Amino acid sequence: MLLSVDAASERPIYAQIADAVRRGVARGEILAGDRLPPASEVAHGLDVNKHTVLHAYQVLRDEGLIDLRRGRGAAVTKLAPEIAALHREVEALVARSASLGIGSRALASLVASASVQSGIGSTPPRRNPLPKEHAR
Amino acid sequence: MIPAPSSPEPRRLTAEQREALARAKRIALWIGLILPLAVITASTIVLAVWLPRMPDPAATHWGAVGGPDGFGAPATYVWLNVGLGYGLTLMMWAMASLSSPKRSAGLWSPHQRFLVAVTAGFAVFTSINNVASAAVQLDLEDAHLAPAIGGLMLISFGVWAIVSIAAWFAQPRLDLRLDPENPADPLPLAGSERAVWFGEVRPSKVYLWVVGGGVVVVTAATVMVFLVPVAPEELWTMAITRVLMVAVMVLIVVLCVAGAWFKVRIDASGLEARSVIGWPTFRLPASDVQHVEAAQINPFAEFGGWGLRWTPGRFGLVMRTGEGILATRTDGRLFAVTVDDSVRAAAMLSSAARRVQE
Repeated sequence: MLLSVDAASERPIYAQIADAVRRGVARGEILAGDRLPPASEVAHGLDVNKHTVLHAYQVLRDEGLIDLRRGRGAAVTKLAPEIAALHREVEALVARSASLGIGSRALASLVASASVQSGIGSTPPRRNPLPKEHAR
Repeated sequence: MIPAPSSPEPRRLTAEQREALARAKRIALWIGLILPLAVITASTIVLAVWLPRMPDPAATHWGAVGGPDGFGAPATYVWLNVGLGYGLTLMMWAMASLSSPKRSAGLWSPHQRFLVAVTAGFAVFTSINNVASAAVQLDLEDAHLAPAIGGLMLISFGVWAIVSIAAWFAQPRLDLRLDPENPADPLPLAGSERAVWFGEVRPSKVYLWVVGGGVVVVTAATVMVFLVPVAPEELWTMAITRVLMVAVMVLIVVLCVAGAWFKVRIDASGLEARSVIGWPTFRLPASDVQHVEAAQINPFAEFGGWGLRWTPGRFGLVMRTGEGILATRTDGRLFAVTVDDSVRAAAMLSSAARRVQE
């Protein structure tokens, strides 16, 4: 499992860590049932604060991609294979639009308008307060 | 048929290096193969000639103190000498010969020198041991009259050490390695990017079966000791025996687990492999890494077996055959770990090393 962050990026570090996990899931490198490394290990490896990593894990939990349980760490849920399948569909979509001469910007706006029509994206993401045991 | 140490085409070696390599191999052939086989053959002949003078049954096993406690056919000595002597010598020679299939692992290194030296010592040890055990019972009416041989055992262990040390120094000091064929490309990281790689060292199924079998045997032995009825006057000895056996069993299980599953983290500071129970931990600092490659690792051929393997100049955390990271330290020593996703792991370690050294 390879996680990377760019200190020069404007995107917050916690969001970049969450992105890195999602990337791994999308590529099928991180599978359902896998355990993410303990936050302290990730923090040590990326030279960031442990709470930054916990923040990223909390975001992923809110998305339903991982389960956070005391003593069991961060377990990847069954949503992972779905995301990996979705990623393959997106790849097919990108390839198809490229063959039609439609660029990524135009495709992105198509996806955005489809999302608006179906009501996705209008609801804010669920946010739970950080539970005590993970805030240690 | 004598298997010669195989080596990749040493095209990039100088004439001088080729000469040194040929010399090291020639000397190793004499010390690590011809001499041990000759010693074993000689002792086997002695044992065979003595057969008519041996009591039947002959003493074949001695307890920790006192006279013999195991008996068998006199010919046991001949077979034991042939099997152990020839078998181990050929196995060790195969290991020394096979252990340089990768250019970066060294066409010749202290690893080969060490294996050759130990083999020479072992052949002499086995021979002395068997010949001495047979000698003390020559012409005896009954093998039960054979004396204790604890002292002789100590001497033969001492001779093993002395011969091995002599065999080590009789060989030339040569560490000949080439750059890896496929050094890992560092990850394409921007200067402001930081990355971390996580992986695991997991034991192979074969290892688990072997270790599992060992645990079952030790457990069975422990249970049997507990089932033995205790006489009142033996209470203390038996209590100590039982405590010792349980302690040994727990120790074996803990060591097997501690040495089999490792969490591996590679970041800017280097590689850290920590046992799942927290101890032991092995580190390879990024500043120590000369070059690194993702490679197929064969624990038996390159490290003499599975597990935590050490020989001079070579350390391996090798729990299965297959892909892994093979790193060469700046002082030339090797560090190997068997992990999945080894290409990215090697790339991560490579970029960490490059960054530290820049």
